[in-house]
Amino acid sequence: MNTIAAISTPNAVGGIAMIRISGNHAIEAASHIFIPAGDTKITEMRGYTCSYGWIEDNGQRLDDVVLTLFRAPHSYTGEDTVEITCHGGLFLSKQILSLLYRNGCEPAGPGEFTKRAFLNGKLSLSQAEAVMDVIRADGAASLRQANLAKQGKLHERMFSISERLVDMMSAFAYWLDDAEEMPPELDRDTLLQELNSISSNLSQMSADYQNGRILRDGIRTVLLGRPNAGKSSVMNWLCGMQRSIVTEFAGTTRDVITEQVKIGEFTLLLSDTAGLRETDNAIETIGISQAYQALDTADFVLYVIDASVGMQPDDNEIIASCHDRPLLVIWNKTDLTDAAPPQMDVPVLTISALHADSFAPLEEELSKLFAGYAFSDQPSIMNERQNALIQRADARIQACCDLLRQDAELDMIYSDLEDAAQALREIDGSDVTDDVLDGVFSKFCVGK
Amino acid sequence: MPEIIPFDVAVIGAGHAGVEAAIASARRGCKTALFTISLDQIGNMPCNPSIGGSAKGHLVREIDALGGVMGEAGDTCCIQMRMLNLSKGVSVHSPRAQADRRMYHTYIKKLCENTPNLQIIQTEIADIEIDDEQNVKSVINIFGAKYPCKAVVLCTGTFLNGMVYIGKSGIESGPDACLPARSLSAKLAAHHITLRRFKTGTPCRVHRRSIDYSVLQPQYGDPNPQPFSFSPQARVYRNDAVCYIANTNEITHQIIRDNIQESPLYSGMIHGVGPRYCPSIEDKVIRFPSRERHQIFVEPTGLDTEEMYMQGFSTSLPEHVQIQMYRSIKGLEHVEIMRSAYAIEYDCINPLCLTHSLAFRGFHGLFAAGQFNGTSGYEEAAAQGLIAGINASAFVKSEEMLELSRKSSYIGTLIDDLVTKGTEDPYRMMTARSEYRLSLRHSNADARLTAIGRKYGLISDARWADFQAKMHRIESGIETIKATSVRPDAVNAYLERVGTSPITQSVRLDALMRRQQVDCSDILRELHIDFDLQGEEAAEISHRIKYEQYIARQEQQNAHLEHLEKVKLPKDVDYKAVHGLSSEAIEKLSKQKPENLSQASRISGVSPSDVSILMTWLKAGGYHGE
Repeated sequence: MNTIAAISTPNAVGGIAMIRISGNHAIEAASHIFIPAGDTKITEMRGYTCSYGWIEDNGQRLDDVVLTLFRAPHSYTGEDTVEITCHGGLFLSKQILSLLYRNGCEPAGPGEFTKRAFLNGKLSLSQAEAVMDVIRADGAASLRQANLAKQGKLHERMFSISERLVDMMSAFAYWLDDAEEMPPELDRDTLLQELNSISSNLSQMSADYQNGRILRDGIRTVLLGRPNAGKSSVMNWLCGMQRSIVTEFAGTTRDVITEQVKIGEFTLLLSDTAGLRETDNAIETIGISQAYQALDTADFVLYVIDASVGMQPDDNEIIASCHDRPLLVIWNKTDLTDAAPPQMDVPVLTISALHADSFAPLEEELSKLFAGYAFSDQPSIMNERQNALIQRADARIQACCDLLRQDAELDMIYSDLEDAAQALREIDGSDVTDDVLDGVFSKFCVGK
Repeated sequence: MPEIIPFDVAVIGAGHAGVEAAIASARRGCKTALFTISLDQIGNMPCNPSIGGSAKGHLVREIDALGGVMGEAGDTCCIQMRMLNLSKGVSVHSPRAQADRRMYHTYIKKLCENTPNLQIIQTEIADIEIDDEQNVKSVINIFGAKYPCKAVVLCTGTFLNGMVYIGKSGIESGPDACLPARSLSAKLAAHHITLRRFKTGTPCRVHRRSIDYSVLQPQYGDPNPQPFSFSPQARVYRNDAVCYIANTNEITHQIIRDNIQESPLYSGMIHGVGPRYCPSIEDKVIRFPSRERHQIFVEPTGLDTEEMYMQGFSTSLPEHVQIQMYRSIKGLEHVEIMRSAYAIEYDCINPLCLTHSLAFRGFHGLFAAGQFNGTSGYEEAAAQGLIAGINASAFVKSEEMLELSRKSSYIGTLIDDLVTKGTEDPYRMMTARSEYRLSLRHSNADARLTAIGRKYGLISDARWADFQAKMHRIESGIETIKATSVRPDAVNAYLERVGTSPITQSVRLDALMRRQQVDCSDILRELHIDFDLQGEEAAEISHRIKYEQYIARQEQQNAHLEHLEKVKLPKDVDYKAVHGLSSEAIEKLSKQKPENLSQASRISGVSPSDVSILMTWLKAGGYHGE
């Protein structure tokens, strides 16, 4: 493959910057621009060693740098790799990069180093996906999840589940092809019990993924409240800028506005929605139906109440209808009234969004609400592709359970089991049929 | 060297593979020679005198649908016919015949004798002459006589350097005390064909009068036996033989454990790999110590003999141990052994050196089939023999080779497994090997394969007309059913009687038929719908309707395989130049030259990420060959 180069540190001014080069000609290209302080030419350096020196462009010394060399296949990408650490000026690092382009390197596409690592067999597909997540991760919990997956823990957890399916399929294969007497593993009650247990494991993984998504991508938060409760002011307080149009007329906000806000360790993905009320205004109606849609996919509800108006019957109704997900009431506009919030079985944050200057009380509430989510040490699936496969497997297993209850023929059930196992193996990829046959031979006494 | 008569196709070995190959080739108009060490052993069944069984019954019906001979031979020489797995799903139902061993041999020999273009010749072939361009030129017997030919099919079974073991004594022998083939292996090696050792075994034959049947469990043939053959004239000739079930016990197992050192398998004398699926009794006892008993089937080997076969009790322990073991079993206390159990070790190839047409890579006109390819079982052998015979004659006639897909048949699956995955022990067909199990029923083998048999000239005009009429009846039956809507009052009484919920408005008949509790024939009778159907046709309609949605789902599940199948891999790809392939994948791919990505994905040592790399590489235009 061609040799690629890119600045691997963020596109911003920092203390230091790092330029990575990978490919057959990585070392040669670097040797054209790097002058070592010592005697060893970099073409003679061993892998996993560093060299101090400087970058020269037409005899002009650009910067003092440290060069780290990796020799194939012992590098991240599996190819010859050179990493040049220079001082962090944007201009400087870009100058070094363009020097590399002039010496035969090509610009790296997004994620191309990781893609090469995958193609060279250095990472499994789920590990490669995890790396992309490490890069994207912000927040400590998120990083921990990503690291668990990268270490192959996800693979292990998945494997232990698919192994149980393969065991079951081996018993099926043995019985369908060979045995006169049904092995005890295939007793309908035993089967149902095992399938249910596998299914609840898969559901758990899928639920963990929802948690994982909250950690990684942020909490999908919807701002709800009756018209003019001050939702847009809350939004602006959270975003720290004039994001929504604030007016004193009810029904100003008609579309769902999405913002990403960092509150301590949590990221909120905010939708500001039209106030919830029955209306004849067509545009507003659309806004309200979008609000309900946003509510359907929300992880978290911020419910805003105007303290000066007080709790209305509508409020109670809407709060009750959100009971299945975390909800925080914002008792807003405390600058206009001294009225204390009524006793409720949901947490309440008392503020004036217009004058609030700290997230600390909100962060505290979030920590309480999401304590269960934040610190799972179980490796969880990392992306939609994996989650879809888990859900496919789970659906197939559920289908098996239904068929079993209806006394269906066992060959029909086998094909569902096969697909469930296939889905799980697709997460990393291996041949289910071979595993099943090996299972038949090692676990059962075959042959009449 | 003087030449004798020239042939188009020479088939070496007249077991079940050789016979199918030779008859197919001759019927397709090629002048064919079938060589055998003994004319008295053509179509012999040196092990179990039975045809069919789980997955193997599927193979027999597929062979019949393609125009092979095993189906009709099995029907004609049958003494007991049973449909296995009836308590399981319809896709694994599989017919099995107990056959009369001598009758089968006589039938097959006569069939060969009466086949135009076919000569059966008793002699041992010692060499194959191959020219510098790797073309097959002739076969040469042990006395130096040369038979010129254009194509050769190797069907040597267990004869190549055969060694028979009983206890620690081994002698050079073929099966059933035939002479082994001692010369050919070395010549094949000289042609750079790599051979390896496999082993298999067979149990004792005992005298009918020495068994106490009163304490054994009898097994009878089916009341309405289903023949193998799809021919409208097919019938099961005899069905009155009785088989019996006996059981080993703790004493039997103790005798085996006490004497295990006497076994050539456990003392290390036999190096050949035995079949995982048909293990010897000592294997079963040692590997599964917790099992209290193992079943043994006591089966007649024919109508004109007192010999009884002991299925499930093969061993290579010495004779004095065999008699102790056998006599420890209830009902066999006074058993008289007529032929002792033995293990046989033989040379075979690793089938990875073959293409999907069962031709050797790198040769022109050299084919192989049967146990020589690393399989076990008469049916697996016959299936390959038929394909190799068709293709050897296609080679001679410069016609297109027949390569069956996995989706089409168990035969296609068998061959694809052999030539892409290879096998580490004698390969036995199982329904679990197919990802298309639901659509590969024994009963629709004709629908799947008759047209292919017809294309290759093995289906007569009369049979073809019968087949088309049958398909027409089935399809129009299904059409009618799907076009029929049923009113609640016409059917609710029936539905409630069979224990399923009544309907409240008119429902399409096929939807009702899909319910587990509804029997298709019953409901048609209930509705006074009468189709002109024969034999298996009503059942076939029922299966098609009941399995329709499951088969649709199976199709969906296999869609990715078919997608990979469409991505062709050129023959001259230099896999070393594909960056990122594992070195094992490079080696295997370069050697096996898969035709598409689906085949590549099944090669052991080619990982899913290798497949992704190939896909990416092809898409990126990495291939610049012809």
